[in-house]
Amino acid sequence: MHLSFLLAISLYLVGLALSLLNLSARRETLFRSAFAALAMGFVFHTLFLTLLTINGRHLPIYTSKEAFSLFAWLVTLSFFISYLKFRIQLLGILVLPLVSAFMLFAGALEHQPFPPLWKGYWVYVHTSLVLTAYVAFFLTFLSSILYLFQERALKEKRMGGVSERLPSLQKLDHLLLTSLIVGMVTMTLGMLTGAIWAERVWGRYWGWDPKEIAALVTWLIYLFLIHYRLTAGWRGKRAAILNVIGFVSVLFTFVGASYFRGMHAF
Amino acid sequence: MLSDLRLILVGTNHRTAPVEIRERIAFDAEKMHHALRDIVGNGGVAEAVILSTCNRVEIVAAAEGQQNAIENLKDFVARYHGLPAISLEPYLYHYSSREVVRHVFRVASSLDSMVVGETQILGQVKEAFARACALGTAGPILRDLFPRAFRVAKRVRTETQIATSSVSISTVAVELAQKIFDKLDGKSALLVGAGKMARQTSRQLSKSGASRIWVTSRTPERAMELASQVGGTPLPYQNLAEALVVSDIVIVSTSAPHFVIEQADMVRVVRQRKNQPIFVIDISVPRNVDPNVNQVDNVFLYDIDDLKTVIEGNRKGRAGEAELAEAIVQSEVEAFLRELSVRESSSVIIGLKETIRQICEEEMARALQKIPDLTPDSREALQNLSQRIANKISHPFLNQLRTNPEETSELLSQIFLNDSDED
Repeated sequence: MHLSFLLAISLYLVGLALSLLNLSARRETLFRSAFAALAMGFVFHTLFLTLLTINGRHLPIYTSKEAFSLFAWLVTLSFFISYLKFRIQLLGILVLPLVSAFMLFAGALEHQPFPPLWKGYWVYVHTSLVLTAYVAFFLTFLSSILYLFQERALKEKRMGGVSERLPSLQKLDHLLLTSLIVGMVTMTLGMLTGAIWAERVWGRYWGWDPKEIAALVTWLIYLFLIHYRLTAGWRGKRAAILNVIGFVSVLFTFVGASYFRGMHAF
Repeated sequence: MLSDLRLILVGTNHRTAPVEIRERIAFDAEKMHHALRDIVGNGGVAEAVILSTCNRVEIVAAAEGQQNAIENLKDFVARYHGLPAISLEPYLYHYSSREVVRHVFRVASSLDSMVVGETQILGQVKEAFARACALGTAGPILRDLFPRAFRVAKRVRTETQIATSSVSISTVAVELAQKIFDKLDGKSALLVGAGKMARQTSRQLSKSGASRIWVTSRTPERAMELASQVGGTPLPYQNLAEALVVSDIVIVSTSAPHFVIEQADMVRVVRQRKNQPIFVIDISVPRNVDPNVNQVDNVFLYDIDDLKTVIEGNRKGRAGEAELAEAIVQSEVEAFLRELSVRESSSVIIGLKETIRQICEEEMARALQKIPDLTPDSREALQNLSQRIANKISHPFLNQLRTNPEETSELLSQIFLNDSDED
């Protein structure tokens, strides 16, 4: 394993520990240190991915190992971007466990060979679009969960505690909708480019392989959500629950479907 | 060089003096410069800041001879306001050195306030300090102390929840509204009937950014009157249903003995609002909004008891946070005093080394005059010898300074630096 990768993982884990501490002790300095650890981890992670790209002469999205690590990188990136706009500190603590898990996952996986025939321009476009969609849906999922907590607290008149640390419903809803739309657009494009790629490689656009079916189900769930959101302003508890289901489906599409041995290596 | 100035403070506040006394010894902002100029330069006082608010009067000063200076300050307060000194004695407190630091930190952090955590006091302290700076009555000592106090106050505010929770109906209502809508800019509020509390709340809402206030009441004249009071637009009472659809925050306080908003109304309203959240505050007794309205998705209903529960929780939270804040202040006081003594001792170190260097040079010059025909080598050997002796002698002093800066620096400055104090 590469040194920069190890450094990135360790810094993420340090960040995770610090933000867990911050959860109980609530110190501005703790949040700042956690933020710094995450940022430094991100720098090493970026370095690692850059080296990988240069040494392997391809973007690191060919194997699950590479994709998981790239996904973790994108999640961290998305945290920084959304933090710039929304300043939700709590998001950090929710992002870090997943980032750490995916990094450990990526560290543990073996390098599988990648069929040279599949390589090419479309694989980059397809995989990076789909990964971006996953990351966006992850943010949608997180904001839904936080929304549910805050809504519950407001309904039950339990101020202080969790509610005090949560952003307003409006802000969460804004993040939720933004990430939902980004996710939907990239997922749709990702599936279209995937079909084109499939046609180039296997001579067919759609093959009903488990990954494709899972992706379709995920896409339909989010389509349903976005439709009712845009027409009836559907939000709140039930929308949040469906969002959670949608993300379970994302996880299955991303990680689970590979175990059914379809055409998709990951 | 080392100064003999020490911090002192004489003051009174809402706990030690009733308002009749406080108002008599308050310092008028316009005449403050007279007072400050009178204090500084008299009775050993070198620097001074006067803080005068409706809850407190505090004179913070740096002076020589602490005890005398404190008595002088007390006399000054009495004399300035034309009162016999003895009559003020029971109401005035005084602090010196370390306690002054602690007190100023606590006052700036709003830990000494009547409503702990209120934010006004910090601004008042800043103003008092700025005035003293402008007049030149705040010297190096107070210019160390006050900016530090502002930083402590900021730390207390960011690291504890002491100032974030509200303890009045109208501010709690605004706070809750912000939990739902974030910024209230562009949000609209609807007053259904309007008691005093509803008017206060609506004023607080528009202060926080709410851009439209509608007012409705069963008697149109009353609606007109209330609307003009809160700067809102009157609406006929029969339009209540439509008004609910376009209002984000609804404050209900009529004297009706029955519900004026039922659950079914709200279900329809929310559908028409395309599920946009709506915040309903029912401050009427008996209640005017069906409690089941809270069951409707995206409706958040708070009645007067709910608001009071939130306030009670905030009060308790504040007490807990105050403890945390006291701990922060305590550690900051320690840190500040440590820094001061380190700075003092470092000036002692420099002075000590300088004195020794001078002695060496003088004695070397004298010796060289007596033995002029020395080779450069022996000259250098002699120089090194004197240097080494000087270093070995000063070494234990410097060590002692590092381990116990406070006492040693005072002693050393008395022994070695008396000459340089005079010039």
